[in-house]
Amino acid sequence: MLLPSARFYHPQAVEKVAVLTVQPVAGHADAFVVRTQRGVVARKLLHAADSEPFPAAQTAERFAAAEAALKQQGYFRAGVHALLHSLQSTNSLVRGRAAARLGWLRSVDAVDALLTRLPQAIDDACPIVDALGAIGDPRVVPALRLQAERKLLSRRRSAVEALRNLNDAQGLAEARQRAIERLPDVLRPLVPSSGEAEPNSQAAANLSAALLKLELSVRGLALDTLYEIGTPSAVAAVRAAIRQTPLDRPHVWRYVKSILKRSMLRHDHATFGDVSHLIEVCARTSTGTTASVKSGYDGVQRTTPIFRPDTQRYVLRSTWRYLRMLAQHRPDAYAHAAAEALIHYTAEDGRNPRRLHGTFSRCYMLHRIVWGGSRRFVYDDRRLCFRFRSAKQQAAPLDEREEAYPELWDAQPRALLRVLGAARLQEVQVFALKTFLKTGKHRATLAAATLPEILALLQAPYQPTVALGLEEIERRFNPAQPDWTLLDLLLADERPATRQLGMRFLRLCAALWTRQPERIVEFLGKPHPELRELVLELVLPVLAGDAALRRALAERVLAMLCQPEVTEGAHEGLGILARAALQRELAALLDVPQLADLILRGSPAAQSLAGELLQHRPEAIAELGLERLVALAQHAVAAVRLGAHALLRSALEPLQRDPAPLFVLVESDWPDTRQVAFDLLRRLDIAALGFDGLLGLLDSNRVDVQDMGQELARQHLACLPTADLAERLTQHPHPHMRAFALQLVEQHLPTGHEPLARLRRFFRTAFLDLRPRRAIKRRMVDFLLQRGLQDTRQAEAAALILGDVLRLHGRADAERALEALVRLKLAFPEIDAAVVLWPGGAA
Amino acid sequence: MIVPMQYTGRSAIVNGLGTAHVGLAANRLREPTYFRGELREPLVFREALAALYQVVVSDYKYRPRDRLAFFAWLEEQDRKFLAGLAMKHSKARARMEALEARLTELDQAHQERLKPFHKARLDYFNFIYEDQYELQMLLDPVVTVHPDEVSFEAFSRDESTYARLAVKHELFERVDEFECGTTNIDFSLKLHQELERMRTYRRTRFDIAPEGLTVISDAGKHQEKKIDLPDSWVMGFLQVHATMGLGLYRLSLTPVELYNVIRYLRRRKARVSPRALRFELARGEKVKVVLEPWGQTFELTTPAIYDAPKPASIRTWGRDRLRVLARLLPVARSIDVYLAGYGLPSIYVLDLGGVTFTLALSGWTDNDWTGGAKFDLLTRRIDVGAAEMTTVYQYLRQVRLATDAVVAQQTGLTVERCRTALSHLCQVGRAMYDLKGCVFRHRDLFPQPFSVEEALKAVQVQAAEAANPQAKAARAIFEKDLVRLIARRPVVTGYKLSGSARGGAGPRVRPLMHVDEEGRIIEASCTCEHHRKFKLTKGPCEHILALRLVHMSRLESERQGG
Repeated sequence: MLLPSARFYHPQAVEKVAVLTVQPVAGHADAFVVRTQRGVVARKLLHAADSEPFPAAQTAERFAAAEAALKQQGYFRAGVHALLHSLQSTNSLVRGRAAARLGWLRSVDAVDALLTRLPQAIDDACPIVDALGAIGDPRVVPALRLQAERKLLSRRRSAVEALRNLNDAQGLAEARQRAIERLPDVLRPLVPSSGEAEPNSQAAANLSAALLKLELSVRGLALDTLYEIGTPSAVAAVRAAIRQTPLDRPHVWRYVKSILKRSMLRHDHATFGDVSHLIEVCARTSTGTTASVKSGYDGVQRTTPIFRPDTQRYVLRSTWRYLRMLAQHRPDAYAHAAAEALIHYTAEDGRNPRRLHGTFSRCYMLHRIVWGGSRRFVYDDRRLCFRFRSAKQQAAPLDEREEAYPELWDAQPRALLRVLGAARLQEVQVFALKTFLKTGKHRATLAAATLPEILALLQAPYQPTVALGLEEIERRFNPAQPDWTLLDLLLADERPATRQLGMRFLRLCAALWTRQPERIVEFLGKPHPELRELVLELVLPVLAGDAALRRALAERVLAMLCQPEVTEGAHEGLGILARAALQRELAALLDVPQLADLILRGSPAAQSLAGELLQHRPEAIAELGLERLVALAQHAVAAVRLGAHALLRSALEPLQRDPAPLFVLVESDWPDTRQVAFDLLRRLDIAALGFDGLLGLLDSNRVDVQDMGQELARQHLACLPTADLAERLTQHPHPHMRAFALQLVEQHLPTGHEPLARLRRFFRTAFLDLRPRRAIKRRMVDFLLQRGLQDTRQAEAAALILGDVLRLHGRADAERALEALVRLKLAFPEIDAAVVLWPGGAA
Repeated sequence: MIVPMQYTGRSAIVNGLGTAHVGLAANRLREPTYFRGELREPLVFREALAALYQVVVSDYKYRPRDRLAFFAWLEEQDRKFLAGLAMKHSKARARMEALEARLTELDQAHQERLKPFHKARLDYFNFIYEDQYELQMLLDPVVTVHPDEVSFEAFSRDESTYARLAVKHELFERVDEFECGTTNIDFSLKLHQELERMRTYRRTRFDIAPEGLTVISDAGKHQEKKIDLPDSWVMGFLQVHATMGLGLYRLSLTPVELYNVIRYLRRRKARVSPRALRFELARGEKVKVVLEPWGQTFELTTPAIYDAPKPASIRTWGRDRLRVLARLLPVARSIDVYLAGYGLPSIYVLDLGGVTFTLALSGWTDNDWTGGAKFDLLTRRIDVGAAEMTTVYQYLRQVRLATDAVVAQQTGLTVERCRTALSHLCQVGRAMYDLKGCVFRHRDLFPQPFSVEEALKAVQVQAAEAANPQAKAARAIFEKDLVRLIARRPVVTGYKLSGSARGGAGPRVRPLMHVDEEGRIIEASCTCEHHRKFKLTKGPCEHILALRLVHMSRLESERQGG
């Protein structure tokens, strides 16, 4: 506990200085006294008087009483008298600084002086209003409400934040109404109600999305106005939107700066940390701009520097100044505010070290907070950066604490816990963990921490921090009486390390939950496959020996599978369990129409299960009919197809009577279904297929179906009208069928020129194929020659086709065609061919 | 631009023992358009539709290979090499080599184990790609029923190829009924595969109707598509017809000759530039087609001798796109090739006997129809009002097809004015030019009815053209009197002009030009940098356009003076 002390000053008394301290009573652990010492100067305090001893709990009360007694005697808090005097200065800068200081001191004695000064204040009005708000005297409310109605942003900001510090509900409600009127139309309906206690993530997301859709010229004002409204959702939305807004633009920067100032006045450490880091990041790459903007101060349009380096330095210095003032005047708050500033740093904030400039030399706040007490660094105020004093100083000392205000960190271990849970930079983690362990209160702090705070430790980029979190969780978990909520949180976590821990706990308390159907179903519903595997591994042996549990679980699983999936894949685990261990029980619960319904409407897991159950139901052939079985055989889920295949295989008799369904199945997109259809076709009598059925197979565009057709055709060629078949197959556009068609043509084309002439397109297609087969072309030329030599008309038909081949660029084709043509011409000189025979024998 | 489509049924084909029924579902959101008949030559129709499908799915744009994996491998090899250098001890080196070998073995086993997974994943992605592509990207062909033909128009995936399939009514054994108009048809990969089953030994009914073929589809099942068409796609569709109106060189090929060209290209890969298809047109000689860079020359047999007055050497690129014609070659009777000029579009018109297949290729594959070439600048347009536009549109809608002369005669406008109005209508998708028949045909590309506002907008297109930098600069040169007409010689086809012009701060240059009577540029050249660099592939330069302005103003004053 920090014991309070204060120094007082009396302008007229001889003993001008008085010091109040709280001293422990020697020999008593819980007894203190307030000691009052007076003197002419602070160095020579002569008279000391101690109060009655009192317990530690009364310290503040007794100290305040002693202070009041001194004030009654005409003493002022040290410095206050001088500050009150400064308020009368002719320099507004001096007056402003004095007012700000009085505000930090929360000196009630200064309220009257400040109120007197406020009406004629101009440049110092804001510090006066800020001070009045910080002091918290309710007498100032009417004056502040008047200021809150001002149009000027700085006055309005100071007044509204002061009213917030004073908890003036009416003044804030009026200010909120005015703020809503200032908002763009699209945002007004989204503003959360004033009674909101916790942030609503959906409302914040909507608001943030709407903010980001606004033009930059109006977005800045909207951000500041929403932050002024200050409900938790509005603040969350502002913080989300500001991260995606360029800060260094005209009409944006002034409002970002305003939000930063408000966060300091409001002591909203989270927003302060967020915005100050964003400004620092932006300042590293941007040198700002110059724009002609209207001044809120005097309404004059003038060229103004926006986010220029001077401004950047001023604002960044002010952020550290704020932390220093907190450390001095509100020491309990310092560590929490500093923690919020630290957690935003990541490795991306660093840069390559160069000479004496380390990786994080440009990280201003990080350096101030983490290494602010170190003597290893030299600060360059012009560039706001830190460098090592010398090359030797680059190694950190082992036992020396380098952070600023170490005693304030020690006093607030919860702030360190926050850093450990949220910081993404390893250097910050090292600092926080070292400090945390040194406080000596880390065990108690961890024990008092909430579960999300502990789980956050597991995400730290620093292994010892993760180990600390794991250790605490293990300490909290009792396998005999498991904390199911904790287990749920661990298993649902996206981080593998956390889930692994949850799975370990799950294994430890398996004896408890493996007999509870509700818990089994719940764990199987988690989205992570390794968890499902573990649950199945633990549950299946138990289910094997417990029929009652299997029945109960089957009913529960069926009920779940009949519902639509909450998220995609939610039924996956249930399906696996059902297929592995509950098939018999589920088969007893489901009839064929129910299985069909499950296939039609269920999730993929349910469909898969139903498909597997269906294959053991021979009665389904009659109940569903061949048409539905054909549809199931083309289902996208493999298990459903397998079920349908099994049933189709045992339906040979009806298929023999009507093989039409098989012609649909051979054209299926699924190879397994086509294979089943082929097997069945091979088992059928060819008479059942008929010529048209066979032609249907041969007509297919699929190579495997064509092969099947060819196989059947070759087997039963004797009983087929081969000439007709040959002519029909020549019209097939697929090159794969060309060889078979040619074979049939060669062997079975009727004699005479007409059948040959009808095939001209077939031959042209083969010759003009971009990917021709040489063997086929040769056979065609030979065939044409052979038929052409039979009579004149066939020779003419053949010559017509060969004439085209003659002009092909390929030499081999052309020469063979030429030879054939010459032979035809020699045999029948009267035919019209593309070659002319000269008397000497040349062509 | 979002193009909504709604179909009551699905397009499909049902094959019976002796009959087949092709039912193409028409877009219900378009004007009621239908056609019912019986095909006489199903095979020709099948091959033509297959080629059209090839055009629709073709994408020949150059995409650099993803070499990330290769570079990662290369880096790994470097690392291993350096590690090997650093390793002095022979035992350690041997151990390292053994471990490397083992690692390679394990990697191979790993890859082998994952092969089915990778294959399944690839299949899945392919399926998703095809499925989603059809649903979201593939614009169904535009079908127009005319009094004398049914035409199907489509544009390729890479926006560089346009195809039009026109099926004459003579190809049908019987035409039962039809209603002229334009619509889309439900078209998919599945339908394309089904159409492959068309045969002559089945009497084939052919229907285009809103209900498609509900026989095999789920009754009452509606299918809706919303295709997000890029504006360039639509503009390209319209630009094609602007190109067809240009003065074009015409050649003829036999199918075997085109096959020889395509086959040669398929068997070789050009590793150096130029990768052009060069047409050598020399007077008194046979036309030659030269494949660069190999210099492989094919002499064309028809016409036997090129007899046009001026020789020309025309290069076209993106020749691989000709492969989409592969299926048509066996059934084609003759092929006409229309060339616009160096690096400009080329058009192949295949006569299949009752079916005409028109394939228009942009100057090169990466040059879509709107990207660079401004073909409309090559034509000269005169001012026409919205009323004249509406009159011409109404007449064309009434008769469905007519030549510009007939339209002029019937509407009472001058031929030139009519031609400009028809050209505007082509530009806004309300008409198209049939290159084979040399007629303009009515075709509403968009479902919205033609209105006076659209007519005004179409006329304003002209103003937008004036905003074209070249046209604007030409106007400025002309108005500042910085262009001089040095020589003007009347020839059979129009005028040959020579002049000098100076634009902006540039030097004085010498534009030369050959224009027809209407001011349409047949041929042009200039000594300026723009022309030297791009020739006419990005449209004519401002000096050529300025020279044309001088010529046209002089021509007009001569005509007025009698």
